[in-house]
Order: sequence, then structure tokens, then C-alpha cells
Amino acid sequence: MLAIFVIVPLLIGAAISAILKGYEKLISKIALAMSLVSMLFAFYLFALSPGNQNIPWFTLSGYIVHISTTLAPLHILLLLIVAIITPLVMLYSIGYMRLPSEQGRFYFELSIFSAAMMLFSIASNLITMFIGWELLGLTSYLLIGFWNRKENAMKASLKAISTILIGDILVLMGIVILWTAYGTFNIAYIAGAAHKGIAVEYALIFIIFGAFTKSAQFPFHEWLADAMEGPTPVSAFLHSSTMVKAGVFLIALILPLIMSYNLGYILIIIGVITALVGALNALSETHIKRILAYSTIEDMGLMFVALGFNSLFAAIALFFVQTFYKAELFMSAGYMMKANNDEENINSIYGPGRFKELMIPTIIAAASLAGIIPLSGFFGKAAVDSAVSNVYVYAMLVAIDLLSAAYIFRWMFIPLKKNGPRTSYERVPREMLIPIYILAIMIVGASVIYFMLPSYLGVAPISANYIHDAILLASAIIGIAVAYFSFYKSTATKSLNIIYTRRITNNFYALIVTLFTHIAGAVEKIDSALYGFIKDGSIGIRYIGSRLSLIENGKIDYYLIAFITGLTVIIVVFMVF
Amino acid sequence: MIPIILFLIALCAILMIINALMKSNFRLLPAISALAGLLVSIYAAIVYLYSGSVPVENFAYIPYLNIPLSFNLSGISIVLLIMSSIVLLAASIAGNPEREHTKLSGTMILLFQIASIGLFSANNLFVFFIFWDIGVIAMFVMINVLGSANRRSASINFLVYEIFASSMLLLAIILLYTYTPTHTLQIGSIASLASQIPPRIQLYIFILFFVAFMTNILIYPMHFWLPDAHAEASTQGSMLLSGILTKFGGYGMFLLFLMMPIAREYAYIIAALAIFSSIWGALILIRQTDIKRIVAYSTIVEMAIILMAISSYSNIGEAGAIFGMLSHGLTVSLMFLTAGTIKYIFSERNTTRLRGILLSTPASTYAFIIAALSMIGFPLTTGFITDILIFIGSFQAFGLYALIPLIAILIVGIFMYALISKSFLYVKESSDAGAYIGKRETLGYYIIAGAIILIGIVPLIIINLLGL
Repeated sequence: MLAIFVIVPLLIGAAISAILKGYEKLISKIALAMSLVSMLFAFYLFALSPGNQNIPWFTLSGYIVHISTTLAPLHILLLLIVAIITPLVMLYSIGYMRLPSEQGRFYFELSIFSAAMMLFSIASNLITMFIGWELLGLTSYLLIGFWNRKENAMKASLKAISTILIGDILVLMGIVILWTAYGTFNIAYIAGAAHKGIAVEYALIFIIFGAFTKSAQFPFHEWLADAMEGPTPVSAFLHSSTMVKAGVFLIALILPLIMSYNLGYILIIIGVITALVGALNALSETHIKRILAYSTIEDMGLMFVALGFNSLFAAIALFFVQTFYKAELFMSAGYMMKANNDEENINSIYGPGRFKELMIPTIIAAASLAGIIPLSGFFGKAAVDSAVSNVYVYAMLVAIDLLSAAYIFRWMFIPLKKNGPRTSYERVPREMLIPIYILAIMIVGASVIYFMLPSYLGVAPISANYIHDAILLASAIIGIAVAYFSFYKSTATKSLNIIYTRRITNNFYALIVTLFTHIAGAVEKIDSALYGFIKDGSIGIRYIGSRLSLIENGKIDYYLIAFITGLTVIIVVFMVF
Repeated sequence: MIPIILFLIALCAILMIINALMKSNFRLLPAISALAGLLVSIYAAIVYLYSGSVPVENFAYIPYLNIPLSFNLSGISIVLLIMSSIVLLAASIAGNPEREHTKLSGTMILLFQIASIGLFSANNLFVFFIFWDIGVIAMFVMINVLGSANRRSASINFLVYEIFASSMLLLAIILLYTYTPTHTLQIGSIASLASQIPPRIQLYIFILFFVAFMTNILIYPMHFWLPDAHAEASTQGSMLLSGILTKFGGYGMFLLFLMMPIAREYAYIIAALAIFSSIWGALILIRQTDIKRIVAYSTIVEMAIILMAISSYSNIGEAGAIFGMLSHGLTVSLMFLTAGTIKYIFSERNTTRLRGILLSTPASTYAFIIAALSMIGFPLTTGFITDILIFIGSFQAFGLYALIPLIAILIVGIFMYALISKSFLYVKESSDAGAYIGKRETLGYYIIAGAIILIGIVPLIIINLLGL
């Protein structure tokens, strides 16, 4: 049984979504069913755990390029995450995407995305991985721009794909160099390979920055905030729990080689900057989903920091637990938006106070993000904090922990405190609530991973550092208290604009685009000038021709003179030389 | 064993004469002939893969000068023949949405098919030259008679460049003939004989050949004719021009590097020129607003990358160059087909005014997206295999410099995505559609897009033909 068949049900679901016209109500159910089949298959693979499988694809000067899959622990972990989240998101979408005209395209794109993510997660060579990687970018582009009558959605999708394309090209450069250096695409082999010259270092830097674009790291982070123009299930699925982690995952796979080239400092520096930028923007943003997007950016930054300190365990622990609380928070946000007629500003949204059924899961998720102890988020953050061996970085992380507790409870308190009159809002479909509760249970349950992961991945566990844990817990509580007093008891939103860097980043992007346009303009001018020069030259030749034609005037005596002159010249020339 | 190439050329010629002389209009003739070409090239591919070679066809032509009419199908020729047959098939079926001048365009497509078959299978430089010029004549007529408003000046411009190239080519061939000890023009034997030519003459021959092929492969500074020619040519003309005629230059360049050992000494300079040309083309591309000119400049970028791969002198790179010609021929002709159809539907080529294409013609939108993805090198399209082969091969030869053209691809890619976002997928406002596309255009999309994806997913046959 080939492991790659895990994506087949999803592909079938996608194909059915694309061709089934006139039965729009059925599409979502079929897609959900297919994702459940895929999930069962993934569990089956987890239990059975077949080893590496290779399907030959084409040859490269004697080397056979395979479509290879593996079910090594790290790979199956990501596969399980995707397999579990997919049906939940599909179920949520049944409630969220109600228009019949949207069904076919939405489930087609979502199923393809899910299949691509699964392929990416079980890929064991760079080529297979790259197929998944590119498909992730494309489906992300299509899903962000899903509502193609919104101008903002179009712009957001364009920004996303432009950033991601930079990463694609960088990763492709890396793959080319790595193949030339090591003669193989096998990720496990490359990860454990020895030093091989300066070119490999370039390759690793290219791949690291490629991963940064995918995982929305500074300075490539702004596309993720814009990506919130897409439908909420997409934000919950692609832009928080799965696709953006592709970069982290790729770096985690080749971490040993990066460490042997001592490139961890790039991960740490960019990771810390990103986490700080993400946390500050999340604290000052007012768009309900964009706050969560900045929070995701911050989480990814923390994972890179952990990787930079060569702690696979810490990065993967956060990687795993972050999935559930972030997916839950996005689903809660979507629920609130739906209940408020698609209002997006937290200052105008009526929050869980209105619909009590949302209260408990949302508090669980927010507390988990803040780092309150029995919830899984605490263990993820504690692992990262313990992995850091540099005191300055640690201080930054504590500040970020405090900020993240503050922004997530600001996110909750501002909608919560409003007590206006109840107006007739749209009734929120029940399908949206079930996944929220399932995820809330998982948030609590996922704490187990902290204790199971070391033996599963075969890495050394980090010895529990109780001082770090206490500091984390204290900063979380302080953060919540700050949020409570500043945003629940009073309003402190206005003064926050100073830490809002979104506009600066966007101006920076615009500057680069303008720069390129101007360079291109100059090049175009030079080009057309050259072309004009050549054209003028041809006109000049025609002019000479028209002058020369004057001597062809048909008068015999002129010809005779010319003949004699020519003959004389020739004779003289031959006599002299 | 029947001489399949001669048979195919004769078939095309007969069909062309029928098409030109008959009063009534057989619109299917070019398609039939292209289909025959495709079947024959697939048959040749099977023979080649099973027995390792296809019999050489030799016929006395000018025995006095020791010039036979000689055809030889190598794996590379077969790949290019497959590509050109697919493009010709799609062009003859779909490339004329306006249904104008169907008779003349059919005749010219058949003439161009003769040129492409003969050129890609030529085993003799003299034969190569003859078919090169036949192709130029067919293309000149396609621009001059079938083109749009400014077609006269664009076609004369094209002709001036092409005559320049042809004369350089002829001069090089004459020099080669004169200086080879046995006075032969057989491509296979020149490689071993070229080293006996005096180095200075070798250099002259090389430069002459290079300038001639450079005009058709569109390397800076010989690229000027292309955008004008494309802007004015008919849809079919554009498809054949970018899809096949530029490959004449590419194939010639490939043969040149095969024949002249002196090329190795200048590989670095040529690669540098190619890299520069790709970036240059990409930068001019992002200033264009005419959809046909955009595609035209993308041709410059891609062909420059292919030239870099040819000059890499590595197995992988050269196979990548041929695979790239296959990929680019399909991709760019699909793009021109889409562009021509869009022009027909909206009577508009300016991308700042084209909006909401998805609403009026979804098929064109999907076709354009597939072509753009292949151009960017998206996996599961031919472009991905091309990129992998070309950049691995070139990296082995030129190191990190070989990766610079990827920046050009990045620029083109972002521009293409912007074009797709703004003009195709964003449907809040939409241009007025004045016409609808018929089944034939859709069939044309299916043929080329199907080929792009099919070869992208199953590249093994082509790779085996290239002997990699």
C-alpha cells in the first residue's frame, strides 16, 4: 500500500466538486466525507507506518528522480495534524459558506490544498516536497482571492503570491545547489551530510529565506495579515495551522545541516524580530482576524527561534499545540463575524457575552495562547523558553509572552464588554459550533504531546526549568491583568497606534515596487533608443542609396567617364601594389 | 523502410498545393497534415526508443557539390518535431477565431510545416538553410498579409532582420564548405572536421553562425524585431513565430555548439550575454500593457535562459535546453492563442482596460493560467522539468551566476500573477464581450494545455528521447 494514496480521496473530492453542477448542496458533504476517508487512511498509516516508498519519475543523467514518501515521526506528525484539521474545517465551512454558487470552487480549492499539504508532509525528497510546496502557494493565492468581487481580496492574494513566489524561486535555487553538491534530493541524507563548500551555505541561506516567505517572517510577513481577506475557514486552515508552517517544517527537516554551517543565528535574529513585530501589531490592530494573523506571525517567529537554538523538540512542541488553539481562535472569530453580519472591527463586534455557547471554548483557546498552565499552549511556550540559552533573547521572549497574553485577551475583552440591545442578527449555523468544541477539547488534550514527543521523535527532552515556567506563567497573568484593566475596565486603544508598523511595511513594499518600475522604465528607454538608432541607421542607408541612384541617370557619356575613371584607378592600384 | 520525413514533406506539399489551387476552402487540411506530422513523429519516437536510431534518409540533390538531401532524426529532432506538430495542430484548428483569410493562412501554415519538418530533421547544413528560408517566407506572408494595422512596417522590419540572419548563415555555410578538407556540409561529420580548419577562420564561421542564430533565438541586441512582429501578426502567425520560428534559432544554436569546438572557449561570454538578455527582457516586459507584447517579451526571457543552458556544455543542461524549447513552444503558443482569442472577444489588447475575463470566457482564463504556471516553472507542467534540468546543468558549468536568470523568471512570474489577478480573476468590473469563442478555440486550448500537463507529469518519454 503506497502512502501517497492518502491524498487520493481528497483529489477525488476535488474532482467531484469541480464537475458536479446542479447539486451544490451535496458538494460540501462529499468533500467532508472524502476528507474523513483521508483522515482514516492517515491513522492507518500512523498505525502501520510503512517505510520509505519511491515511485520513479524521470532520470537526471543517470540519477533517477523519484516521487518519494516517508513516514518518519516528524512527517507523520504533520500528516496527522493536516488530516485531523481538514474534516473540522470542512464541517465548519458547511456552516460558513452558504451560497450555492460558491460551493464547487471552494471545496475544489480546499481539497486540492489539503492534498498538497499532505503530499508536502510525507515527502522525503526535495522534488516531491517542492511539488507540494508550490501547490500550497497556488491554492493559497486562489483561496485568499476567493471572493473575486472584493478589490482588497484581489490585492491581498497578489501580495501573498508575490511574496511566496520569491520563496519558491529561492527554494528552487537551494534545491539546484544541493543536488549538485550531494548528488541526491533525499532530505534525510542531505540533512545529515557533511560540509561541502561555500555553495551549500548559499543554498541553505536561500532555503532559509524561502521558508521565511512561506512562514511569514520579517520582512516578508505582511502578506499573512492581508490574507485575512479570504474566507474564515481558509484563515483557520491555511493561514494559521497548516500552510504557513511549511517553512518551519522544511527548516526543521534540514536543521542538522544548518547547524553544522552555524546558520542558526539567522533563524534567531529574524525569529525574534518577527515575534516582536507580530506581538506589537496584534496589540494595536483592530481587525478581528488580523490580530490573530499577527499572532500567527509571532508564533512562527518563536518556532524559528527554537530551531535557531537547535531545539527540534521545542519547535515541534509549539508547532503541534499552536495548530489547535489558533484554529479554534479563528473559528471563534468567524463565528463572531457571522453573528455580527460580517463586521470585522473588534470595536463594533458583540462578543461571546451575546452567545454564551462560544464563551468556554474561546476562553480555553485564548488562555492556551496566553500560556496558562494546564492548557497545551503553556507547554509549547515553556518548551521554547527553556530552549533559549541566550539571556537577551530570553528577556525578549518573556516580553513577547507578556504581550501575547495582553493582545489575546484584548481581542476577547473588547467584544465581550459591549452590552448593547440585542438586535436581530443572523442565526449562526450549528455546523460551525461543533468543530469549535472538538478543537477546545483537543487544546486541553494536546498537552500530552509535551511528554510524548521526546521519545517519539527520539530527541532529548528538555529538563523542566521551573523558574522559566514560573516566569512564563507570571508574565501571562500580568498580561491578562493588563488587558483586563486597560481594555475591559477602560479604553486604551488610541494610544496604541505608535506600535502599529503595518503601514511602514506596506510603504516599504511599495517602495521596492516603485524602484523596480523605475529601473524597468530606464531600461525600456535605453532599449527603445537603441532600436531608434538602428532604425535611423537604416533610414540613413536608404538616403545614401537614393543619392547614389542619381548617378544612374542613363546618360552614356557619364557612364563612359565613370568607366574610364574606374579603369584608371584599378590600373594605378595594380601598378603601385 | 519508407523515408518518413520525405514522405511527410511531400504530403504537406501536396496538401498545400491542393489548398492553394482548389476553389473551395478545405479548412481542415492543415490540421490533417499537422496530425499526420504528430503521428509520424510519435512513430519515429517509438522506433528511436526501441532501436536506438531512426534510419538516415539520403537522396542525391547536388551531387556535383557533394550536397545530398539528407535527413536524420535524432532524439532531439523528434522532440522538436513533436512540439512543432502539436503547435501547428492547435494553430490550424484554433488560431483563427476571426475566420479571415482562411485559405491563405492554411496554405502558409502548411508551408511553415514543411519548413519546420525539414529544418528539425536536416542532416545537412545546406538543407537546413533551405528550410530556414522557407520558414522565413511563410512567416513574412503571415505578418504582411494576415496581420493587423501596422503589419507592413512590422513585416518589413522582420524581413530585414531575417535577411540579415540568412545572409550571415549562408556566408558561414559557404566558408565552412570551403575550408573543410573534404568539402562536406553533413552536420554529423563537421564536428570532427572543424578542428582542422584554421582557428581564425573557425572564429569567423562561429561568429557568423552565432549572429544568424542569435537573431532568431532573440538575444540582446538582436531582439528588436520580435515585439513589433508579434503585435501585428495574426494569432496563428504569433503562435508559429514564437512557438516554432524561435526554435529554429535555438536548434541552430544547439547544432553550432555541437559542430564547432571553438564554441567552448566562448561559452562564458555567451552565457553572460544570455543572462544579461534574460534580465533585460524581463525588465522591459513589466512596462508593457499590450498583452501580445507581454508574451513576446516573455519569449525573449525564456529563449535567453535556453541559450544559457545550451552554452553550459553539460548533458543535463543541453537536455534541459531541448526540453525547454519543447516546453516554451507549447507554453508560448498557448499564451498567444489565448491572447488572440481575447483580442477577438473583447476587441482589446490593452491589459489596463481588460477586466473580468473570467466572466466572459472561463476557458481562456484557465488556459492562460496554465500557460503562465508553466512559464514560471510550476511542478506538474513542462516548465518545472525544464527549470530543474536547465538550472542544474548551468549551475554545474557557471556556478551561482547561472541562477541569476531565476530572478528574471521571478519578475515575469510576479507580473503574470498580477496580470491574472487584475485582468482575469477579478470580476467586479468586466470588459464588454463582443463575441463568443467557438468549440474550435476550446479544442485548441485542450490540445496544448493537455500536452503541457501530460508531458509535465510524464516527462520520462521525452527525457529518454533526449538520452538523459
